[in-house]
Amino acid sequence: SARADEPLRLRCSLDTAPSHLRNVSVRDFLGKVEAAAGGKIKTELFESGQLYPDLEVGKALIQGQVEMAAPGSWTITGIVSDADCFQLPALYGQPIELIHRVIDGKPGQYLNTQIQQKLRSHVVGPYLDLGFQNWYSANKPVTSLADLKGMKIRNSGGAGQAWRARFLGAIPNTTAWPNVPLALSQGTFDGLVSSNESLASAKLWDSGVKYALADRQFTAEYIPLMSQTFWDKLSPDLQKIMTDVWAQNIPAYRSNMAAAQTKARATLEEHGVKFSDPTEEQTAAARKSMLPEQDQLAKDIKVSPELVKLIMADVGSGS
Amino acid sequence: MLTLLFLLLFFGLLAAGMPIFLVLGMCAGILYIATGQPLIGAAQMVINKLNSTTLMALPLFVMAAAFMRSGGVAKALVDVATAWLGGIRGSLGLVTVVACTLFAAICGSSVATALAMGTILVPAMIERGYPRSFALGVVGASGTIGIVVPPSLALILYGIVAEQSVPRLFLAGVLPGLLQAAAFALWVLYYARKHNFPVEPVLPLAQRLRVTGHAIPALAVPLVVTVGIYGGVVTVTEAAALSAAVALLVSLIFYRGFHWTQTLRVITDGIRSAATIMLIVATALAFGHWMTESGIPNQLVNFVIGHHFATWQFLLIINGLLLVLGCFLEVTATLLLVLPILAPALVPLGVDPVHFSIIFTHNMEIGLVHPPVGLNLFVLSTISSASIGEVIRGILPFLVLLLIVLAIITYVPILTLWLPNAVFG
Amino acid sequence: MGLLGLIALVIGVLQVVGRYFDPAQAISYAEEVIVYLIIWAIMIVSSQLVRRDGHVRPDLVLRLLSPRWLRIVEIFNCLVAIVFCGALVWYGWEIVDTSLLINETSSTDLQFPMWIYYLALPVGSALMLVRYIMRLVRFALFFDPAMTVGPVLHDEMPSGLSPPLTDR
Ligand code: NA
Ligand code: NA
Repeated sequence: SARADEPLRLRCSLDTAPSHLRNVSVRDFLGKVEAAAGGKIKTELFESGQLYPDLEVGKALIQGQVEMAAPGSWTITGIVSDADCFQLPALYGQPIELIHRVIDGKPGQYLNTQIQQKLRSHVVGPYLDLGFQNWYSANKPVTSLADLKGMKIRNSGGAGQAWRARFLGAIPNTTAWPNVPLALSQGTFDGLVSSNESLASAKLWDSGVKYALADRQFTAEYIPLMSQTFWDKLSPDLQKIMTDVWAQNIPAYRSNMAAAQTKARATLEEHGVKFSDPTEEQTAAARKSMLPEQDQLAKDIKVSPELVKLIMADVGSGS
Repeated sequence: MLTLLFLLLFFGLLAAGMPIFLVLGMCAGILYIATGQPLIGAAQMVINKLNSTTLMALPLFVMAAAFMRSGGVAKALVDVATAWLGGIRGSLGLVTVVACTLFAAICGSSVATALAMGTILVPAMIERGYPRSFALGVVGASGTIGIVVPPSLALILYGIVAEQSVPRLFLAGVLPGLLQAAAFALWVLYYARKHNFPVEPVLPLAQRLRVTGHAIPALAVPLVVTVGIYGGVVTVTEAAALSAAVALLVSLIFYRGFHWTQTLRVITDGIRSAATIMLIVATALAFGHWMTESGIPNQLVNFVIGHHFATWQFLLIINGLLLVLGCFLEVTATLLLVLPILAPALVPLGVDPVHFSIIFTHNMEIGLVHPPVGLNLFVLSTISSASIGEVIRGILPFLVLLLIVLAIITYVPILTLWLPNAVFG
Repeated sequence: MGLLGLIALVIGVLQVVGRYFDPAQAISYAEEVIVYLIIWAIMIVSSQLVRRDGHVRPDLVLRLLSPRWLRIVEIFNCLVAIVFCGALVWYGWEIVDTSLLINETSSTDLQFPMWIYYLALPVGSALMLVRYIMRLVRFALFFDPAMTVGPVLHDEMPSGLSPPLTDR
């Protein structure tokens, strides 16, 4: 019938601005998919949270309100508590190669199964890095983790981030990103956890950010998802196109993002933000001090013991 | 086809006198069905949109406003302004402009301003022989200043979507806000003279001082909020909670407009006023979501961008577009609808995004008072039991003034850009 | 409702004051709890607004109609409202159900069970539904030409306490 020839509609929702590299990457992916599908799929990208903020997009995928999204792992912890595993002490301050081994290996597969079940969504392929998350401070110079004691620190959400702040003697605060500039310039909190790129895009130096402690406390990952209902509608060759296009391009997307983070650091430094970089020994010592609490933490934030075990196996074999 | 269905539905239900939240909710629901969207999404949208800390500033400020008007705080503030402006024809109208500007600057919500100031000043003006439609007009129009003068919920959202520094945007709004207040003040004075409004007696100095002394505890309310927000102690939402608490204490201790046993009643009153507005905002956002998805606004904006206009033409067209959207949609909905599409086009077209933020918010102010969907119109009609038509008649001259101010803001960028550039370099 | 509002207010003030004097005492989830309390209060109060006809409505046309036509239009309005509120109860309940099923919590320190928050939607809508049915019955079966639309002023000034403190 005529209806069968109509292209499938693929709506994708992102809550970052068009210039953000996640948007650039996903736009590129959608363009390539549309070309490869030869008119069988019509893609539409909705940006800047026009359709949904990431916090709500999980529900939208479940209810079939949107076909694709790439939410940050920290935004889906309310539904998939295992997605908070990036906060585990074992992953603190680790090099990107190890993180990739974890997310592209067995722990990643385990997490994908959880996501598939709870979000009723298909994981299209390897995650897209946003990059390392660091500490940033407005007035108090922060050169080591000890300096964080007593400071009010904003995070992006998830119980794991709050735990780390408390562990270091800081007071955790979760403030939505839209309220960060005002709250920061008003001193509602003294510092925040975020990435170079996020800070530079919001020009947070105008709101008073002066110091950064680049401890790479965790990597923020965007997870490319398609609603299961939509995925099941695709013919096997269309599914293969999706998977292949994403897999072929993810190395480039990841390295673009890493380059953007480096460039953002330069921009921040140009605007007077002073960076401190802990040595490998300091980072290892900090990780060691957090590790004894890992099992209790995993229990509190509901990360399954199996996942912890899988991650530990990867970490152990690497360092 | 869909557009036609929407227009028929929208105006049909409005004409039947259906509550606004129902009109918007039904339009959203039927359009969800027409486009094959599961309806559960519309319901989820309504409840999710309400789950916002930023939005909570509204009911909390409304609560503060309820304490202030029931407790006698706002009356003391108005009395003191009246005492010192006596002898000028139309002074009470002037008091309204000044009081609304101050209150709006503090609370960042135009609707809460219209609500709080309207309940005190509209009856006061009518009592002194001002025409009711004029009284409603001056309150409704002066209230709109809330989203341009910092702090402003709308500018915070703009900063996020367009990736601009929020403190910079806040400073940009100061001078345009003052210009608007000045324009209103001059118009009120002119109108009062022309229609021979009553003159308030000039009070003897001793009495003026006595009234001022009486108002000192009342002044604690704006003081706490201003110091809290600009002094870097609290967020806007916390300032709202704080102002409600201070207004409550001052009412109970100094003015005793109500007995402490009635506190819960006054809070319920506040929540009830807030509820009428929150339901409209939530359904408007669900409706705005459908609009975004339908792609209608995208097509419109892309059309404008695709025609390679000169900067001034571009600004003229965008202003027209925003005014039309403002007829139907609520502030946040318009912002989320248009800005993500428009923002990337600004710099290539030679428009400073900071400058544009004020053009944008000023347009949204106008949207608050122009029919058919203007939240301030509804608020004023609710508190005065005047018909929407009467409110519109009163607000018309101010609407013209707002359009003139819009033209100045649009074509004299220095007005917005001078202050932030002077401070941040 | 007043009580929910008062609790929200107290939490808000405690948070600000607490943080000012001793940052360690700040309640990290205060703002989240305030949202839940206030939205519950607002959803419940909405049904009172139906009873008092306090929901904002453009009554331009209605005020010009004869009692007979006013009655017809108002019956139509009530029917539409009943359909709308009924849909909100139904889908609101589905939202609660899904949330329970997937064990959804808020993505914060508090890990608040979201179904409790979502429940405000079907409950509030159900209360409104009942009030609209009562209004429909009044206009359909017990109509009297003196009946009008618009806020019921003798027992409510949404704005203040000017009328005597009676009922509710
Ligand atoms: Na303001
Ligand atoms: Na409007």
